[in-house]
Amino acid sequence: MRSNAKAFIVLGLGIICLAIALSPEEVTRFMNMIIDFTKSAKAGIPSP
Amino acid sequence: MAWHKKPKTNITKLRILRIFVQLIMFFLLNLGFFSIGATWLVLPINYPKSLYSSSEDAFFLLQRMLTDSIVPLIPLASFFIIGSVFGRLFCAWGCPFGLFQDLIGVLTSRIKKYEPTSETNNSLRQIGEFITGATIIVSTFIGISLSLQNASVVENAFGIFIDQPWAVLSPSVFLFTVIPLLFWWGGIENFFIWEKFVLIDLVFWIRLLIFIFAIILVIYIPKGWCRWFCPAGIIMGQIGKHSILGLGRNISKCTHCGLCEDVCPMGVKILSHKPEKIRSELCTNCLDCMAVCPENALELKFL
Repeated sequence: MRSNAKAFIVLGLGIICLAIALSPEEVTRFMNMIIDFTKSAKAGIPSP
Repeated sequence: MAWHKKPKTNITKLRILRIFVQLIMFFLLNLGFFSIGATWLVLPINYPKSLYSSSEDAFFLLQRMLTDSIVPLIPLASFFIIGSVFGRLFCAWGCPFGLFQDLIGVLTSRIKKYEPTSETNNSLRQIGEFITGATIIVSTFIGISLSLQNASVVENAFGIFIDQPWAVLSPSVFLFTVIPLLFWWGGIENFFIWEKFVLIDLVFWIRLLIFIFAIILVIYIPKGWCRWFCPAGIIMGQIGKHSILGLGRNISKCTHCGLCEDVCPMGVKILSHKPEKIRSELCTNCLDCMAVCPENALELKFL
């Protein structure tokens, strides 16, 4: 398979992942996780 | 020969420009310092969550999501989209740990550098690939175990690796998270409050040792950590060698002088690749080769 075709297949996969991830439930879950993550980092736990 | 002067000036200018761009990126990745909090930006770079970071490191987020039993769609999207379009461009132009390695390279430029053989390159790269694969498998296993069993049983089984396995080994965590937490947390007036040093435990010493190893590696082998051990770099390398953006070599102009291979910080054997596109998992599109070529035979192109 030509490398360009591989690049476009991977790009397509990425766009599909992003489209699923941007559904409203996923967005809420993702933002909650980032907020928890930031809070735990700022609470002084050395591992991120 | 007279033409040697021009490429040397070009490459110095390009390296200064790259460090400048990296510094701007570092500033943009730390907008938390100006009270701008977490953003949606998930980038395939080696920059773990730190005190002021306003972005997410795709590999650390991938681990975090796997250990929380969440399908890591956003980090995968970041790897796939950025990798398939730009290749490893962010490794050279946006990664803070890449900047750290570049600065060490500048400070130790008088020390003789070593260029490992292809066999050594491949063997060390396989170790990096093994570590990356193992990290992903262990993270998935932790996530599944936590959803099936009592959390304390799993915590006892995985010990220090329970949160994010690679965070224990990563020198960038030590540089960007552990050191700032030890010294900057609590403000400059609390710089040397000894109570903070209760954070020093076994994991701290493991991280310190790996950090020292990374520094020694980078002093003698340019971008040694990026080449072989950075998990984000390894994933991006596999995706990026088929990227839409890449370097091509014009064979009608190329004289096979080998200057491009001499200056490549990642040790890519440019002349042994097909000329239409250099498909190497190591190429970070840093453009050093392009700047040094006296015949302008190398060009950055799409498709």
